Amino acid sequence: MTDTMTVGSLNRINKTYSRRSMFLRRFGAHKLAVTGGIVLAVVVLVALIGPLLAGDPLALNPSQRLASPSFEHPFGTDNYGRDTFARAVAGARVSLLVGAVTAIITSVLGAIVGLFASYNRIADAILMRISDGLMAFPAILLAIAIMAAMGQRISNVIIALSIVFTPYVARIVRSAALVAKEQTYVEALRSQGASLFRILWINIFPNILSPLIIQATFVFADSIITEAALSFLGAGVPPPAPSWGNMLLDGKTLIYNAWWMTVFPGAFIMSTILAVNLLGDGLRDLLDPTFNRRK
Amino acid sequence: MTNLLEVVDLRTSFDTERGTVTAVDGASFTVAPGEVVGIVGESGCGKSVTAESILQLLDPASTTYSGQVRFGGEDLLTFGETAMRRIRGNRISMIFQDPMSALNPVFTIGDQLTEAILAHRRIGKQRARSEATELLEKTGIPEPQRRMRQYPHQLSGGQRQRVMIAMALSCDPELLIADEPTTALDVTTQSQILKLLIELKDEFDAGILFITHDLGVVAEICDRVVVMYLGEVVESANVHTLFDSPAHPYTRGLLASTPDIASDPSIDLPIIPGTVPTLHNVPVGCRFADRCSFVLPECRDRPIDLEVLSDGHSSRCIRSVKLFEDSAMSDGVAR
Repeated sequence: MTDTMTVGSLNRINKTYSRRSMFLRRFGAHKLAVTGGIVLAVVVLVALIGPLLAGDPLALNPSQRLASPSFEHPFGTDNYGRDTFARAVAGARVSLLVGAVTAIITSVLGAIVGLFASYNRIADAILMRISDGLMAFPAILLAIAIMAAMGQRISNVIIALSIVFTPYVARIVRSAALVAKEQTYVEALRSQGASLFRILWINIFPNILSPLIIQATFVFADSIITEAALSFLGAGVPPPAPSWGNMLLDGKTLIYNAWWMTVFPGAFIMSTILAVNLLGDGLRDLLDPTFNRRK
Repeated sequence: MTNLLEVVDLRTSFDTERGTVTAVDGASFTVAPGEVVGIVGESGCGKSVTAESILQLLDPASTTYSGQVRFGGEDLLTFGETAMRRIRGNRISMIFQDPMSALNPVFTIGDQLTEAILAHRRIGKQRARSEATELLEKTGIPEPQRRMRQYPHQLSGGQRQRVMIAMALSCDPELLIADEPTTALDVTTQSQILKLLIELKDEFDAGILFITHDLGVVAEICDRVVVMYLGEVVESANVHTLFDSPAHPYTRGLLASTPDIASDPSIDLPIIPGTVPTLHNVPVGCRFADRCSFVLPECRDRPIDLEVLSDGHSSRCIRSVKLFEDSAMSDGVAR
């Protein structure tokens, strides 16, 4: 009887210390990260189900031009009588899609480039000089140039942003991998006859996953902002498709007549970016052991 | 008995920003099957580089090897990377000084052991796992089943070193290179690990090349000893000969500076003055001359050759015959 109880409590202790549950518990205690996560979840939810409820973001209604917020049009209407709420919600889809796809593409490319560079000096020299070159341009200018060359389409926005942000991810991965590679276990693996592929992808890669995830959240936020800026400048998502950026562009000239045309998309951009950055900061606090933990 | 490993005139140099340095300069020694050969010396003597050169683990972009590393009738230095991969972990394994960082923190012990087994043998994953568990049991880890599912941080240093040994033995190697395997462990764990190595050596009939700076460990497990100083072999002898009648002043210094339980604690332990010079300014003559208390002017004139004193005993010192006789006569006093 007592024996089974002891075994039971030992098992419970072991369970409490499993890595995943420990991470979740610490994440739960990180108030800012939780706030960011909740806000982001709400935005994602709005992007997923909002367009089903809000009606057609492209439907023109000349009789309802520049209507102020009301029960029928909670965010008012724009100069063509289109419902601003429907457009903001549809814009959320565009923004989150651009942000998420860019974050995924840059993570994959950045991981490949960074890991490869960390292990081959010649490749390192070439790849890092190319990324230095790309990073020497202001991100927005480079993105405008790429968009100008390729034409205005959402897929091109994603490609342009991926080109702009991959060097940043690759740098982080490379430096994390350079540290990981000096660990004795890498030499131990070599002494066991491990191939380069096995060392890089099976053994080093999981060790650089934390900085990669953290960087991916920041790329997610940055690409939403950059997409908005591109669209605001008329080089991003082509109208009439709504995006937060081109809604701001439409609202700019009417800001004194119809504040709702700029305030609502602006609030969406701000709260989404804030949420993603809070989440990213939280993940950095939790995942990066070298980053000093407060408290 | 034919030798398992024959290192002949091994020279390992690195290209650095300050020019080429030769970390191992003409080292020669042999390891026979079932034999434990120790390499001793201070930090920076080229012990570890010698070990890493045998497996060619050093950065290929900046390292040049010359000489021969004869193993199984072939010269490993003529092997390319792919051929070396088949040797590493399979026929020659290595265990490292720091068991804390020699295991990948993100995988379980079981995954890493299984991976090491599968790297060289075409067997099923299930079989590899059960063999891994057996190996853990052989190395004396209690509850191997549970340990298989644990991460390195959940094990103590001694247990991790046992895991490393299990991993090194996973493919039944002919030669085991142990690079200071007990330095990071406390004394009781150290003696357990040494005992384990000897037991497993007998069971697997492997030769061991044991790198250490601890003469106590050498006395405990080695059959023969190679003393290195600044990249050169300065003395090589049977373990009894080395402790009873050391011929090279450096070996004598090392032995004299080892504390003895019977020695008077109020008397300062003799030390070898100075430190190992850097490889950028290697002296022309005897490399130990600046720190040697028996130094003569002619020591600094030209490189000193390794001189055979008796069968299996050689020393790189122009005065070694004299010193050797002295210490043989005053046996027991010198120690």
